[in-house]
Amino acid sequence: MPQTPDPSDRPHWSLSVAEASGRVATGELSPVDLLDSVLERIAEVDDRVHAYIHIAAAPAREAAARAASEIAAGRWRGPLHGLPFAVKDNYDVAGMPATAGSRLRLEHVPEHDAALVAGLKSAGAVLVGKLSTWEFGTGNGGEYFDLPFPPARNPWDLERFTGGSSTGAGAAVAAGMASFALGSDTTGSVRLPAAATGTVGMIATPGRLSTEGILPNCWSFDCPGAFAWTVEDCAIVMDGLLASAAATPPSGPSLRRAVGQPIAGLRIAVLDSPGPGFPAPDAPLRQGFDDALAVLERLGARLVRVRLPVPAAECLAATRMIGPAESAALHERELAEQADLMGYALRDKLMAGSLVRAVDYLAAQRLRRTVADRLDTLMRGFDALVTYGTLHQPPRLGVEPEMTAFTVETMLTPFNLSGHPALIQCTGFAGGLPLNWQVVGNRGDEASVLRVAAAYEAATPWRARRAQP
Amino acid sequence: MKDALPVDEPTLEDMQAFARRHGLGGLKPEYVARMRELAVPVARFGLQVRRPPRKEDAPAPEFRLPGR
Repeated sequence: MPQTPDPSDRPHWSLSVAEASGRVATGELSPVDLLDSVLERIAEVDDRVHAYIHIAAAPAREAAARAASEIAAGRWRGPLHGLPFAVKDNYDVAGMPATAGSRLRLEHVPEHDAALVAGLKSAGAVLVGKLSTWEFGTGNGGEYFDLPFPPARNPWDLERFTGGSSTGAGAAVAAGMASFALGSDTTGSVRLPAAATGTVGMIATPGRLSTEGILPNCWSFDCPGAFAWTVEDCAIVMDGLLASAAATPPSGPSLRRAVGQPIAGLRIAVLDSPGPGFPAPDAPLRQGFDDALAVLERLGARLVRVRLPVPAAECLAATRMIGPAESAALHERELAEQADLMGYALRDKLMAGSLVRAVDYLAAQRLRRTVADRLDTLMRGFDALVTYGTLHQPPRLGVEPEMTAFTVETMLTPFNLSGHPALIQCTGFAGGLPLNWQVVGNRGDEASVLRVAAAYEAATPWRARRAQP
Repeated sequence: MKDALPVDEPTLEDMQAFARRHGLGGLKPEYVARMRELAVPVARFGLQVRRPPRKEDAPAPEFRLPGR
């Protein structure tokens, strides 16, 4: 198995959160030097990747210098102190543009930080800037090159799609332009970009993390999420978010403690089919999935095959009522008065949402309860569940049928409907592009998700390879 | 799941009237024409959503008590 070179031999931008944090805490690495390395990396590659909409170099340098002083004075705040991060541009940051990728909000500058941003700042993390997003953090699955900012490109292949809607978050982390990033997920918008960019992307149990200060897209499903390079990094970030900015205060041990725990004897459900209505996963993804199952078996997990209680295509139909209808309700005035300023994808979604009958919306919300109850019953018999994330590899940017298929034909929406925590991780590469699968946990049990994903990651070589855009 | 449920396509005049009735009378004609194209797939998706069999199966909307 290829080994990751010693951290001291690698540029600072390539350090994981865990590696950088350990060195920052001991004074071996200055937050100022870490930030400089990340800013240099951005300058080197982001004119090709377009992950960032706004780079806040000066305030970031001030924050990094402050962190360095505090740590030197013995006031280390915790593992995120001095670590550079970025957020999707639908998060509010005081004094910084929050365009949500839209012409409608080019002049919008919030006065307050989103709750999660405030929490990370209080943990000493250093905000580098705002990241690309589909307009308003939503869309119809495609990219139309008609927004005020160029679409982010996949660092593994610049002609490929990053997945949306947190388009810049996965790209930034994959390319080493932030130690970690925050995005938001309505029906896959954290997990799709994580899948496309080979990063770890996780949503917690809905309600655990505050959505305050994030532009709403769909009240029923909106859920913040974290992007990181490794599972341990994701656990550290989730711990930071839960400790300082949780909608519900955390209880129990830190999530990082789950990383490294053995999985022998854990009961893991294996969901290997989306059911009728969707195509089979692409062959490389099937191979990656089967190989990953073999790894879990070698590690001693007890695997049990299960079936999705409601086919993924039916779950998609429900989200296609709920998502557009709620977006249309949220942005009703903008559609009526400013449709001309919108890009095609947002306008299309809001017009579709305006056509949804209340009867069908409520049918979808009734089905949601069925899906949630049945999946919860299934999950309670297991410690975790593994399944596909996307059914396709990252498609060509600009080829609409491929992009929309990548976006909608997934195993992601059932868990938005059911409200279970879920994580995407890389399961290898094919044709130079990342493969992925999804690990799901019982409600409130993010620790088991991270435990299983970390065990898999530690047994495989995929983190030794970095994108070089 | 039902794949091809019969749904009549609205005329452009139907769609213009719908837009006027629902506060979207200011949309450009080409946007209304696009809404007309969207009307059939949206209706079809709606009809594809499985209806729970029991009338007691209530929807699961987002609801929080004020102040909590």
